[in-house]
Parts: sequence; C-alpha cells; structure tokens
Amino acid sequence: MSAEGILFWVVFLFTASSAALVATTRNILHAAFALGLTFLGVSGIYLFLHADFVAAVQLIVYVGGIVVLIMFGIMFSSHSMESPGEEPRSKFSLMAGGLAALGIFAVLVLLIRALQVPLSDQNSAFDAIYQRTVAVAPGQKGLGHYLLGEYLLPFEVVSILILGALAGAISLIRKETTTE
Amino acid sequence: MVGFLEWLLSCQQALVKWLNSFHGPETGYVADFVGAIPEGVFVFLAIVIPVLVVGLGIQAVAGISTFVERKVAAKIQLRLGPMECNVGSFVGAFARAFCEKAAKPGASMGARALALVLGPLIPLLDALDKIVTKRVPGLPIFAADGLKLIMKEDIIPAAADNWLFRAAPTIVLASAFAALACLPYSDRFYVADFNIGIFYLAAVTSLEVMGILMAGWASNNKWSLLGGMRSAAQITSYEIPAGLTILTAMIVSGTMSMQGLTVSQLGVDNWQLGWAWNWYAFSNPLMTILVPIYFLAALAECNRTPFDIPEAESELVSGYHTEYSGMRFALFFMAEYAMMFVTSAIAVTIFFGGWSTGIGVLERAMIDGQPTYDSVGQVTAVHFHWWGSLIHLLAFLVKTYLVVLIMIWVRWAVPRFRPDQMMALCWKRLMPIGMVAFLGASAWLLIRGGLTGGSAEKSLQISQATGVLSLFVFLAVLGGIWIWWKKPAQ
Repeated sequence: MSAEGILFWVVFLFTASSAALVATTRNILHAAFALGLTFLGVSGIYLFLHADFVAAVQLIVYVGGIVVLIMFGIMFSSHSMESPGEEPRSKFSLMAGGLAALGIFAVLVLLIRALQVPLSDQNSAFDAIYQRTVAVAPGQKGLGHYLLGEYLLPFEVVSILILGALAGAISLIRKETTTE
Repeated sequence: MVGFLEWLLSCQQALVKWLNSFHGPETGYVADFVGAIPEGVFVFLAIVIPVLVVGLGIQAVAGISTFVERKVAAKIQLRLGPMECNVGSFVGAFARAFCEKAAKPGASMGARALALVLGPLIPLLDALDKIVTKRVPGLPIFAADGLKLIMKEDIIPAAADNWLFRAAPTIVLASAFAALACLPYSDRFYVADFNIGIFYLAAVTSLEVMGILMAGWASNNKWSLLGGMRSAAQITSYEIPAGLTILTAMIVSGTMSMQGLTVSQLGVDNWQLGWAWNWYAFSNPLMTILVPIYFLAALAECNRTPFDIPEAESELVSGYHTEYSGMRFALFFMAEYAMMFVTSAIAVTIFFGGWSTGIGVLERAMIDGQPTYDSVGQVTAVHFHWWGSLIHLLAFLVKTYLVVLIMIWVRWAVPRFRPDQMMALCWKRLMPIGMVAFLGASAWLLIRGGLTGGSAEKSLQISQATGVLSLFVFLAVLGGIWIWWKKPAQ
C-alpha cells in the first residue's frame, strides 16, 4: 500500500463520513457544516485526479461560497432556532431508505462497469483528452487554451447563465424592499 | 523543497563513507545500519521537516507580532507598553527556588536530577536577560501570555453547541496555516511550489469564513452571532477585490506559481536583473493602483481595524470570539496574526518582488550558473548560491514584516468603519477599480501581442523599453517624494 494509496483512503473516509453525517444528523446546522467538510474532501479527491485547478476552484466556489450561503439561509430563518426534530425513526422508513440507497449504489456500480473506466492512468477516452491538454501546456495553461479556443461557446453560454442569475437575484431583492 | 530529498540522501551516503573510512568493526556496523535506512524514511523527513520548520516559525512570528503590536500601540499612544517581563522573573526565579529546595538534605532523587538540569540554565537565562531583555524590555511577554492562556480554565458555555464550538478555532487556524505551505520564502528554501500557487492561496483563505460562522453560531450568543455574520459578509465581500488583484498579477506575469511570479519580477530578460524598479508595484501602473486596494482587502480579510466591526471591543465585546477562553482564544488570535503574515507575504510576492533583494548588483553577484528557460523562451528559474538563498530568505522575511508593521500601525491610527461604510467601500469603490485594472492588464497583453507580432526580439525590445520607462517613473516618484519632504512649511 503506497503512501498515495493510504492518503487516498484517508481522504475518501473523511469525505464519506462527512456525507453520512450530512444525511443522518438531526441538527440542520450540523448538516450544513458537514456539507462544508464533504466539499473539502471532494476537493482532495480532485487532487488525486491531477485536477489541481478544479480542486482550488471547488474550495473557493463551494466551501467559500455555497456552504456560507446555505449557512446564512439557515441562520436567518427561524427553523434553526427550534430544537432538532423529535419524531422517531420508524423501522419501515429505515428499511425503505436503506433499500433505496442500495439500489442507487447498484445502478452506479453497473453504469461505471459498463463504461469500462479502468482504475489506472491509461484510460482511453479520458487519457486522450488529458494528453491533448497537457500537450499544449501542462496544467491550467492547457485548460485556458481549450476554454478560450475550441470550447469558447460553452464558456460564453455559462457566463450568460451566471449573468442571468445575478440579474435575477438583484431583481428579487429589489422587489422585496420597494413594495410601495 | 527543491533538492532537499537528494541532499538528505547524499548526506546518508557521505555518512556511510565516512564511517567506513575508519575500517573498524563497530563503525562498520553503524555504517551498515545507516546505509540500510530505507528511502521512505528520507522521503518522510523531506516532507515533514520543512512543514515543522514553517509551522513552528510562524508560531514564533505570531507570538512576537503580538509583542510588536503592543509596543507600536504604546509608541503611537505616547506610553511605554510591556516593560516588566523578563526571562529571569518567571523561569529564572522558578529555577532558583527549585534548586534551593533540592539542595536541602531531604530532597528526592528526581528533584535532584531536575535541579542538575535547571542549575546550569540559570546563568544562561541571566545572559539572555542581559543581552535581549535589557535592550528590548518586555520581549518575553509573548511567551508569558502563551503560557497563561494554556493554563487558563477551558470554559465551554453549557448551552453552546459542543462540537461546533470546539471545531471552529481549528478550522480558522488550519486555513491560515495551510496558506503557509505555498509562500516563496526563498528561491531554494520553500515548502512547495504549486502550479496554482496564488490561486491555492485565494482558495484556502476562503475556508476561514466557515470557521467564523461556526464560532459565531456555536457560542449561542446573539452578539457573537451578529459579529460572526458581519465578519463572514465582510470577508466574502473583500475576497473580490483581493481576487481581482491576484488575477491581474496572474495576467501580468503569465503564471500562477509563486516562484514564477517572483522570477518574472527579477527582469532577467531585459538586462535589469534584480533592481527594485522591476517589481510590479513600480513598473506596472495598473499594479501600482492595485497596491492600496490589495492592502485594504487584506486588512478586511484579517478583521483588522479599520475593518474590525466583528471584534469591535466597544460594541460587541469581542464579536465571534467572546465566549472563547484560554487556548481556544489563543488559536483565534494566532490565526489572525498568521493571516496577517500570509496576506503580507502575498502582497510582497505580487507587488514587491517576493524574495528578491532589489539591489541588482547583489543579485548578479549571487547568481550561480545559467537561468533555466522553458519551451517558449521565458525564464522559469534562476539559480543562486546557497548563501544567496539565505540572503533572499532574509529579504523576504524583512519585506513581509514591514507590511505587517504597516498593518499594525494602521490599526492604532485610524478609527473603525461602520458596516455600511465598509460594504460601500468594497462594492462601490474597490471592486470597480479592480475590474478596470484587470481589463487594462488584459488589454495591454493584447496590444503587446499585436505590437510584437510573435517575434522574440521585438518582445525583448518592448520589455527593455518598458523597463527604461519604469526606471524613469520610479526616479520621478522618488524625486517627487523628496521634493514633498523638503518643501518648506506653509
């Protein structure tokens, strides 16, 4: 078991246990913080896929932006002040939830096997893209070359989407304060 | 760190050879043992030793920063600051009393053994007092404060959220410390040089917002919650001008790695190796505009006055760290000073040349060999002698600490902002200027590309032309400052 293998298991266990905490904890704010830790772990997993730029972006956007926004939403609403839900977990709901989770897991495993994504670096489809990007320039220079070159249209469409979201947020806020 | 692993392995070989040169059976056994140490141990050491050095170093720096802050505050407020603490008074007195007791006939063996250790320390402590504390009175107060905070009772409010309360200072400190892994302390002595260096720094400094929200909520205290939310809003808002500054630096230099940023400010390709007017703050007008913007954003990210509404002592007691006592509060405190150091280091790297000394003659004297070029013809690394690397380390630390001193100075000179003033400053003034600078840098990149048309000599000529222009601008600014300094009072 190489050092990288051990590290991967540590990161994976951290991510998986945080995700389990998100789903099972009764306190909604604990769930939000555990979500932040999960995103932290996912950023670590991105590093194992040689996607260092995406890992940093994950930290900035998800942990520093989305989780903070979720926490603001929870803290400003009144539900966080109530005590955590007291309803008991029935056996039926536990069994149904467990079966659903197992079912989705089975579907995912079958899908991945059908795509034949091997566990090594020499993967045909993804490796070709990776090699092509690295051939331009290693790291994020290759990423920039393709984002502003071949994939310019999706890039611009995404920026229009973000502009729309920004305009929508501002219009929502204006409606709430100028209700005369 | 570059070459540290190879250096450790070569040390192992050299030790084996030296031990074998004695040709004796005992040294032969030791030599075999040393030679049989697996490489994994050295890989582990090569990773752990720089991390430990940097981690312990920042603790010392943060501690001494608290002392410096108190002395600077005292100077500005026309008083003396901490003067009483000296090493002899708390360690020396304890050692003397203990040795006296242990010298009595009824003392135990353990006490006598400890007295044997403590005894020789006493003249050492007296010498330390004479050399250090008489010159800089009150310096050991940072160690005394640390000891006091460790010994304090750890109070967790009964109604506080137990796990979040404990986890919050850890996250804030972890984000500040994680940023230290990436700083360019020197051209040879650094922990790691990521491809995405500056971007990684922006990423880990955005992690501390989560910790602050945790602290504000988990204290179960309306004022802490208010302080935590204000601080989170402030930090996320000011990440935008800081991020725009970092983006502009990326565009101007063409690389994200911290070492690359520093090397591109050395000016290897336009014969101006190492002179200070090559630094981006002096040679690029857009970056000059961005210096105060980044400085204000850095102050806001560290929750320093004038942006310290979250800790406003006269209003919210202590904001989100009101309920924290003892070592937990010390963790928040250390995180604040570590963040000051980190943001100062970023400012020094992108504006003031990182580890370069700014004296071209010195830099040229320290070069060892040829610079390494990459495929495009740009310089990726310049090699210096080992003593040159040490001088670079000193230069980096001195420059960073000068920026930290300015931050401390500003705290005691300026009153704090109202929250709405702070937000207006960020969104209405700093962000537009940052965007204009970013657009200007991109435009200059395009214009320059059009002028050179891809040829290397034209690019070199443009670099030299802008280099000469920046020299004149630098001298003009210096001359202007001198004239302003000398002009008679009106």
